[in-house]
Formats: sequence, C-alpha cells, structure tokens
Amino acid sequence: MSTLPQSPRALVIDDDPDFIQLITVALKTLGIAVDAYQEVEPFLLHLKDHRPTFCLIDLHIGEVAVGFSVVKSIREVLGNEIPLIIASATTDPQAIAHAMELGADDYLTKPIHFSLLAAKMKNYISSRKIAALQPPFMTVPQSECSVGIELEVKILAIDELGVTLGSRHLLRKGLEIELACPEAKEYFGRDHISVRVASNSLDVSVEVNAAGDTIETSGYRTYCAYDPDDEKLFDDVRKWLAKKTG
Amino acid sequence: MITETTPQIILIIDDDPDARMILSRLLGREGVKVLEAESVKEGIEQAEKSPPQLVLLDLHMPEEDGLSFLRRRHAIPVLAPVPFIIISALSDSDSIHQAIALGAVDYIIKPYRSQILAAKIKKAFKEKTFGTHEFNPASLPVAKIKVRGEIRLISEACLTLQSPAKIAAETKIEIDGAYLKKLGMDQPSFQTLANPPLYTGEVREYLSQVNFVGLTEINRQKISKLMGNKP
Repeated sequence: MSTLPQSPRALVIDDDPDFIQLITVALKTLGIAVDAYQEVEPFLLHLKDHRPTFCLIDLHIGEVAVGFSVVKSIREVLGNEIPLIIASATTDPQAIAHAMELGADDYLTKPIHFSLLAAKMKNYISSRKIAALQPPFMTVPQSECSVGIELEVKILAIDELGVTLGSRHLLRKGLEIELACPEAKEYFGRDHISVRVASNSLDVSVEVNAAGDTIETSGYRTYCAYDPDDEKLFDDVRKWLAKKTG
Repeated sequence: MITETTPQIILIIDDDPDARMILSRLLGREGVKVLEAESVKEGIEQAEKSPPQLVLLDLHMPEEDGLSFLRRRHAIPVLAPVPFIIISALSDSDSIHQAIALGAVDYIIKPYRSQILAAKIKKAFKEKTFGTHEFNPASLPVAKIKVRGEIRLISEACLTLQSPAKIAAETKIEIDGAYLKKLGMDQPSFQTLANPPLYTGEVREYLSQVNFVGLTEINRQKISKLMGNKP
C-alpha cells in the first residue's frame, strides 16, 4: 500500500552523485526531504510503495535519454497524481517540449538557480494543499460536457506551409485548432483558418531583477500547418507573402 | 511526388500546345498541380491567381520571348522568388548562357528525357518558395485560437476542464458550450488558477482548474440546485 508523506518529500533520479548531494542540501533548506536513486529500477520500485510530493527526473541516465520513458511510464501507471519535474543540462527547446508533451509538469535547466527552485517547489507544495481544500464538485454528464475553449496567442511568423504561434499554452502535437485574428482576412484571405499543431519548442529566458530574484519567463513556439487540401488558402498566403517580400 | 510539400504548383509557359500537353501529363503523374499559359501575359495572369512554386518557360514565343520575361520577372511580386527552368529547342550556347545569366536555375533542351526533367525539377523546388514573414516582436499580431475541451467537474466556485491544450496558469480564457448555456452562462468569463494544469496520462490531455469570474447569484443557484446530484 503506498504511503502519503506527512511533510514534503522529493523523489530524485539522477546518475550524478554530485548533483544528488547538491539537490538534497538545497531541498532540505526548503524543508523538503529527499529520496534519491542513480538508477531507474530502484527509483520505480520506490515509487510503487511511496508517494512523494513530486519527482525530479534527470533526462539522461548514463548515455541514454531514459528520462522521457520514465515520465511516460509514470503517467501511464499513476496518471496525474504526482508532479514530475525534469532537471537536465540540455537546453534543446524541442527536447523540453517533448518532455512536457509526455506529461512532465515543469523543467529545470542545470545548473539550477536556487531561488528558481525555491519558487517552483513552493508552488507544487501549495497546490497539493489547495487541492485538499476544494469545495464539493459535481460531475457533468458526458453528453453535455463538450465545450469550446478560446485562448489568446500571438502570431510570431507566417510562411507558405503554416503559422508559428507564441503563447504560454502548450498545444499538443496533432491538435486541430481554429485560428482567428483581426488581420486574418489580409494574411489568409478569410476570417479564420483551421490548422494542425505540427511541433512545439520551449522559449525560456532567465533573468535576475533589481531585487536579486531570479525570474523565469517561459513560453512555447508552436508551429501549426495549414490543411494540405485547402488550395485556396495556399494561394492567398503566397500572394500575401509575395507582397511582403516584393 | 516530386517533393513532400503540398500542394505543388508548376506553371508552364509555352506557345506550343503539344509541348504543354506532354509536360502537363508528365507532371500530373507526379501529383503536381499544373497551370498552363500560351504566352507571358497569360502566365502572369495565372500566377497572380495561383502563385506557382516553379515556372517552366519556353524561350521562343511570338508576343514576348522568354529572355525578355526573365529580365523583368523580378518586378512581379508573385514571380520574384520563384525558380525558373527554361525548356527550349534552342541549344546554342548563347541562349543557354543568357538564360542562366538572367537567373534561370536550369536549362533543358527539347527533346528531353522525362527522368532528367523530373530530377531537375526536384532539384529546383524549394520547400518554402515565398519564405517566412517574421513579425516584429514589439508588435506581434494577437490571435484567438479555439480548441475543444470537456468540463469534468463543476462547483459553485470553479470548474475542472479537460483539454488537449495545457492551458497556462493564471490566464483569462473563454469557454462556451451547451451545459454552460443551460446554467444561464451565455457570456461567462473565466480565469485559470495559479496552479499548473495536471496531466491525465491515459488520454494525453490536461486538467485545469478554472475560476468563474463575475458569476451572478442566479448562476450560482442553478449550479447549487444541480449539485443536489453530487458524485
């Protein structure tokens, strides 16, 4: 039977013993106890019997990027129960976006800034407490639960095969979305277009403000492809692009 | 297919209808959309309706010849970035040299072998003929996107939304659906909470908690009444 921690507890997997020592000290100063493993099997066995407050997962164990499959496995077995945070030296935005698409909740780039770590840990611990205080909920009948959700994004670029969007939302690959904007008639020859998400990459910038706090700003660049059967759309976009570059 | 990108449009400008027919059949077999023009003037009209990604141009034509057109094509926006391949019976080195000097990417002498034509077209094709327009970061156009979702749970204060989009925390969003209309919430506004969305592994979607903003007392009463059927 799995046991829930009374006080915050992190489960870490990383093959670097120096990093494990560092993160253990850092998290202890935040009042978070640490269980750490350098190999996947004992890590997963621990998870079978214990429920940490969150997991911190290195993307690369040895030479292999097993972090992706660890995230995927945990989500398949345990669902959304535990926040999963990736800690990795890679800054490849597509690798980061892929980890998020597989179910990771957050990403920390090594070397980790302590104040950023502290801010994120505070958020994950408080979200568990808030979840326990929610008012009673009612399930919505399956036949009536469908909705349309409208989100705001920015258009970063337009090319003749698709459009690049910028936002803080992660749009899953393959997702079909309807895009509208006041200038749509000018760009696309119509008020709105249907596109399909083709790829994501993460844009992260870290800066220190005047007060010495580390502020992380992150967003996603999402490339969305036009409907390949919509010949008129391709004609209109090419005409607009030709005018822009001509 | 000549390339992986779709759709592929090639414009043939040749006053010889037989030459156009042969090319058109050949390209049609490769899955390409073909536009035909018997003169430069007609070619420009076709291009302005459906900008092509490649032009196959004959040199010797009565009204305006190919070399003259090559000289001025950069002034036509829909043709300026497009690669031109000359297909001509003229095999003299002067014609070839002039065409290449005026920017043609290749020169094919009639009669040609279809495999050579296909190879040269494939080589000349650019995935993005018309390039990419990047907007100024200081003034990016704002757009709205609509994605589907499902309301999983609802209470008097908030609802839990499942969606294939991981909606950012502390974001204003709009939601519409029959169930909300039933609650009299025709034009509600919503705000996602500060907590990041959770991931549902089995269906690869995200759960977000969303606060109601500006809910009326009538709406609350309707939800409360419905909550007589708690889970």
